[in-house]
Amino acid sequence: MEGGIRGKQDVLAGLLFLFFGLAAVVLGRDYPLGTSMRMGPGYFPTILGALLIVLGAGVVLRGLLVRDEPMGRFELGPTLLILSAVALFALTVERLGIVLSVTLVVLVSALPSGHFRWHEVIVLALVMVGLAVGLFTYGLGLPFKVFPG
Amino acid sequence: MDLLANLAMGFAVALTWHNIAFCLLGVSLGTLVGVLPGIGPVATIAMLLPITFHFEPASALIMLAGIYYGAQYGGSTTSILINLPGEVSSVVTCLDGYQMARQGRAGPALAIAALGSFFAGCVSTLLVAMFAPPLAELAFKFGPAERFSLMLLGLVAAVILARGSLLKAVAMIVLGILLGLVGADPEVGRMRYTFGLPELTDGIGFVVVAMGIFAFGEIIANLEQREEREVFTKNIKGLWPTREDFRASWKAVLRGTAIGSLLGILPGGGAVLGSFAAYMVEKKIARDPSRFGKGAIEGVAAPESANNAAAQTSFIPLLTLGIPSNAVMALMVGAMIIHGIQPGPQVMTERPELFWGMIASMWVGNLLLVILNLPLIGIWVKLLTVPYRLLYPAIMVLCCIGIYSLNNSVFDVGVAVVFGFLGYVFIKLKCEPAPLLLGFVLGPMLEENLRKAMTISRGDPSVFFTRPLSLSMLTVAAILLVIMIVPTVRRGRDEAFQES
Repeated sequence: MEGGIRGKQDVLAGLLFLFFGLAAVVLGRDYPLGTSMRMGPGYFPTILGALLIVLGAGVVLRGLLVRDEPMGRFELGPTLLILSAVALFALTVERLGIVLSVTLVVLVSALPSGHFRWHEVIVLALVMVGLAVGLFTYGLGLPFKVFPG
Repeated sequence: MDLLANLAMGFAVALTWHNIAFCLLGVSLGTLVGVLPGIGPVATIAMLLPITFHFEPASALIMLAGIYYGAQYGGSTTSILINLPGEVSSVVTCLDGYQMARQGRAGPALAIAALGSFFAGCVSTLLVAMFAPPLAELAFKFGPAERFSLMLLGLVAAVILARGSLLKAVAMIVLGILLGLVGADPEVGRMRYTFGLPELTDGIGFVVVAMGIFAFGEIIANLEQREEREVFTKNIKGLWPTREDFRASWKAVLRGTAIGSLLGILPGGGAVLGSFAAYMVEKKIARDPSRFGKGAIEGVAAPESANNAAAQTSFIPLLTLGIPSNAVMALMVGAMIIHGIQPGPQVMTERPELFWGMIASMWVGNLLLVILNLPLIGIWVKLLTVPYRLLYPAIMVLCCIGIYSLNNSVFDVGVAVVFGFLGYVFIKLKCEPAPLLLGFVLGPMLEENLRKAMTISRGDPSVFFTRPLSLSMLTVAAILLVIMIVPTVRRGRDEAFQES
């Protein structure tokens, strides 16, 4: 997008705010507004949503007028891997137990490090599993299942 | 004297072996995360919050507080040695600290930072002890209108604290408040923005948001920059500063302490604002401002004193008014609530041992920190050689365990994924996430007090302007806003942030 929009960050950020503001107002239509003396559940969020729409529009406008330094690329790979590691933990911790779950988090999150070395990652995984089982499960008594089944 | 009797009671609590151990644990962890770039006190405290449930309340709070001010000490080490701030509050320390290290004077820089922090810590502990009781008295006079205005003032102050665009900072606060309102309406129980998910009835967990944004979002952003670090470890010859160094820096330490203490009390303030302001002042009043950025010792002494002072005085609004002034204090609220303590002025009267014990522990903690950071500096320096590629998967594991064990909820971990993504997007779009978090915490309180105030006044909004305390806070907020819009001040602020 060379030359097109001047402040790309601001335009995108403004659109994000606009989206959230609109969502707040639109979803908030279902909630009773009440009166200023007895404010209903919809009163405060609707005001805030409207305010956010105005602010978002302002940020978009600024982005169109003021030049900003070029925005860095969105790194899709690391983003997906890091977030998948967390999601994997959520999916596996109750079914497979903490040992496998922690191992998965270490393995997947280490992938985008740029210097992935198997021996390092395996040692790290062992240390973290030891910590999770020794300190958190037995030491502090957090109710984790250790192994599957 | 009341103060002495109270402090004596506090030390009786803080000086038990048990609590000294927790204090040591807290400040060591604080130094550790302070030294390590890429993980800060917010993520750490959030991570440990669920575990503190198993401790006694006083021990838990002593440890968590130690993490916050301990991180201020540790942050300076990284700034000075590798020109990479371990904490945001140590950003300005890089400017002169790193230059000192390059000139082979890393030792004196580290020593002055630690000694300045210690002095500031002692003074601000005393300040907390002195000012908290009268402020708590005042707080009992607060009605919903005053509380609403005070929180508004805090949010305005948070805007100034944020880097970059003001407009975006305000928008982030509003978005934060909105996110804070998710869940059952406090008065009528109507579900708001829950999309029919029963897990959201009590709202989105604060820890979940904090970890998502400050841990996962940060990690993704950090992975983009694979910088080579240059560590000046060989250059630490003598630790002790020369007589000249002391002469040059004692006034800077005093000024830094004063500025930090003052800005710490301000809701929305905290360690970051304090260190920036202190550095700017030093540069302004210096006879030869051109020395700054080239290894001026005042440029290390002032901000390091200020950030530690501010870290401690920022407990004042929390302990007296029950209003958290920054993200760390918001986590402290969470810690208190876990133990069934409602933060606010009544803590001092109902749980004096807790209140004074925590204050006394700050002094103990500062003493421990000087020991940890001067004779033992070598250990922390070694830690800097641990590569990030080994560090962040470990952080990931600890965060996952922390979020899950808060409520034993898989759902919470899933929500953290969403906020991790949002956090990364915010960083990319240059939207500072700290104001969002503050808005998120204050949101529900803001709404509750607004509704109460309006009901009491029978729907007349003038109540906020006719009650003197409320009016004065709104006036201060308005003045701050106007000052921020004045072009010259804005430029000054931009410059200050630019230098970092």
